[in-house]
Amino acid sequence: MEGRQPSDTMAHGGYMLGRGVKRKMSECEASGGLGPVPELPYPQQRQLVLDLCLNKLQGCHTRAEPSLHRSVLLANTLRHIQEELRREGGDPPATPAPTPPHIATPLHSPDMPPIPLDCGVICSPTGDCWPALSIATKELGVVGGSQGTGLLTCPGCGESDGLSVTSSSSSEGGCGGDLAVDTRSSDSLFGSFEITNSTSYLTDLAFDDIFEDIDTSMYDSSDFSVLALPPARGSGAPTGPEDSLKPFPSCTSSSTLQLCLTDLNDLDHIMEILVGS
Amino acid sequence: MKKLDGLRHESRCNRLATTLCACPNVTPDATEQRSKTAFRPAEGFCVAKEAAGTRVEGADGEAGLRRGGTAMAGGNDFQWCFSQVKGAIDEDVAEADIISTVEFNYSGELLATGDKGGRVVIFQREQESKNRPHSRGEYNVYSTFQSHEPEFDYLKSLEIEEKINKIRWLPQQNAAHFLLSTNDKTIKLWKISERDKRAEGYNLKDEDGRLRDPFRITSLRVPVLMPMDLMVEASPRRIFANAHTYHINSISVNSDHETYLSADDLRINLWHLEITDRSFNIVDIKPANMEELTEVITAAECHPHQCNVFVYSSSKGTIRLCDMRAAALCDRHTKFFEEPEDPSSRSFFSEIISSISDVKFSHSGRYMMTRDYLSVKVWDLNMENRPVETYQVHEYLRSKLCSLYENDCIFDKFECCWNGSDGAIMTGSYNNFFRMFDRNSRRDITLEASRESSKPRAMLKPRKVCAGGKRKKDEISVDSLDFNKKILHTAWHPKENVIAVAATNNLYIFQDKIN
Repeated sequence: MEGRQPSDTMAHGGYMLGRGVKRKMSECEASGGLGPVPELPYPQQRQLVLDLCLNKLQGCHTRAEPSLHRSVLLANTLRHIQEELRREGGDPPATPAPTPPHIATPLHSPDMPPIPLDCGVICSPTGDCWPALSIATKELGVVGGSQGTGLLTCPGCGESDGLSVTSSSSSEGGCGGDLAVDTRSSDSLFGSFEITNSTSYLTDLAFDDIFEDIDTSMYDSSDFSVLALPPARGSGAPTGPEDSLKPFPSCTSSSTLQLCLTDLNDLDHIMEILVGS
Repeated sequence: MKKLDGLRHESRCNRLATTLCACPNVTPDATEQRSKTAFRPAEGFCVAKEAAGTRVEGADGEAGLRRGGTAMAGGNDFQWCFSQVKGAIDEDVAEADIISTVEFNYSGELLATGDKGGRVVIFQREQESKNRPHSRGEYNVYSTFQSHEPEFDYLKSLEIEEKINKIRWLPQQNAAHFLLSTNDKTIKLWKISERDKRAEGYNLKDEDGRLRDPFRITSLRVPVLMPMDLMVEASPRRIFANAHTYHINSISVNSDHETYLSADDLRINLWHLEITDRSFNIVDIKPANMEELTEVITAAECHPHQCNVFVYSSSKGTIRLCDMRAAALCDRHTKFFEEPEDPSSRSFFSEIISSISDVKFSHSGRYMMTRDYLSVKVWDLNMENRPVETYQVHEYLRSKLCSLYENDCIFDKFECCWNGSDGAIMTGSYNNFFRMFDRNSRRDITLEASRESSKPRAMLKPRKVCAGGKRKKDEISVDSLDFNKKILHTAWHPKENVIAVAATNNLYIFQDKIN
């Protein structure tokens, strides 16, 4: 645990990362150093880490090198903090819960009206607010732990009392979406790291195969037994500008039918025959 | 990463081939003072921490040092001197030039590097000449080739990087050399062969290659083999593709010299070197529900002698040893190595810094070494509940973890390596520092790979980091460290005291002065 100083962190401006407030970068930070790190009380530290965690998870798809390893570590850290917050909020002072001694502000009263599960903003006991993880999960698909952690289950559900929940500005009154975010987004964070085998999709396939699955049942050979062929196609090879279209291999009909189908200009001719018969 | 046109590619290869500090014919100064020991314990800082009550007497290590080749000094006194540096000195480094892996071959004659641009550069050691008995063989460029190209995953709209994640040499069986190189997705087997003769005196074509008019030929001759300038060719012999859904982080050649394993974040596959269209999946930790994913595979290695044994490390700081004889799918480990967490040092970042970035068996096969963010641990394969040795690499960073988390440095993956006798280990740090630990004398040293100390055969000065309090002269304070200069990849010659250290786009080669 880092040493805690009695000095007021607000004098330092706190760490406002993720809230649009720029932090001045010291010179040594600019050159790759660490810069001075003011000692923060534990709750502020935890909040800072939580903010950073969310920011990083949000940005993980925009990075040059998406890394499943990194995302898993971030998600685990996030979950750990959530568990801690839930434990702190959920344990009444009577139980010997190992709460850090610096949380002096009293926990909010649990007399909250029942609120839908997925709310926009969650406030910590210290009064700071950050976007609810449920919103975050919808956006990021953060997986794991969402069932068990108190941040996602509102006091109205009787789980955690220590958190006051307010609606975010982004959702009117009630909240949008449903808590089935997890199932929907279960793969959206971790699933996006899969490398598919599609890199050679376009180069591996033969030209014919691309059209393999086109439904040609309309052109069943039995309907065309009396089809008359233009003499130009009698030789068996398509000519003219339609040369690039090879016969569909899935056609089971005779070669005459194939030759007929390859000529798109004959479509009208075919329609006449169909309509005629 | 953009695909490079041929001209830029070549110019970069030339830059890499330039030895900036060639060692000219320097006669050793007979009056040169040699300090007594280079391996001095850093004052008040980073002494190897012993696991309580489990100190290894270093039986293997000591004997190994004595057994070591004549090049090894009898004692543990290494004096590292600058030998060479490869790479450009430009201030702005092209990302493609950043070295991503370094590996000596089994004899130490060849040194391979891979970079982010997908290229492999192989250096070969020159034979020692009688003229300069005191200067050891230099490493000069032997072969350069483009191993991997960037690919595009159409379904996911993602670029697959061409960065070479790992290179592993195969034991040499004939005149040619073989190595495996891998990026995130595909492993390739490359054959590097020499050609130093060519046939001359063809009948049907002349020296330029132009065809001769057959009617003009009046006599026949037998072509003869003439020596030519050495040409080194690299050709891909096998391509092992489409077996990994996640990013490959490790490859390891098995002791049977027929198979090798490749590991990604969630799976490990076993391949036969001759067969490219099939691989066996031997470890799969992907949960049925990806929501439950909390742990990934970070590294894997085959045992150096037992071809049925391998280990893999995880992001939670655990190592699992598996025996392939037990089951086809080695999801259940044979041994499980984990050190209980020290509750007094618990922090938000405890799990992140416990993630193991590299695991390496000792040459003897009796120990393995793991590297996590702040330390290196040596494990006895017969003891699972804690390591036998723990070495702090840069403990002064423990109080800075929040900042390192912020700038993402906490996710850096450092590698580690053994020396040939298993008596010493080496790993990298920030500010272009790298650390060496002598397992027997328990001494450690911090050295720097920098241009300033790049004079021919200049002895490296030990560096010290001031963790706090009054900074002494020659010490550097933690806040002044450059975290953009990180040494992630190092390699130690299998037989001699020669080390290769990759510092961003430069490769430094240091040698131990002959005592």
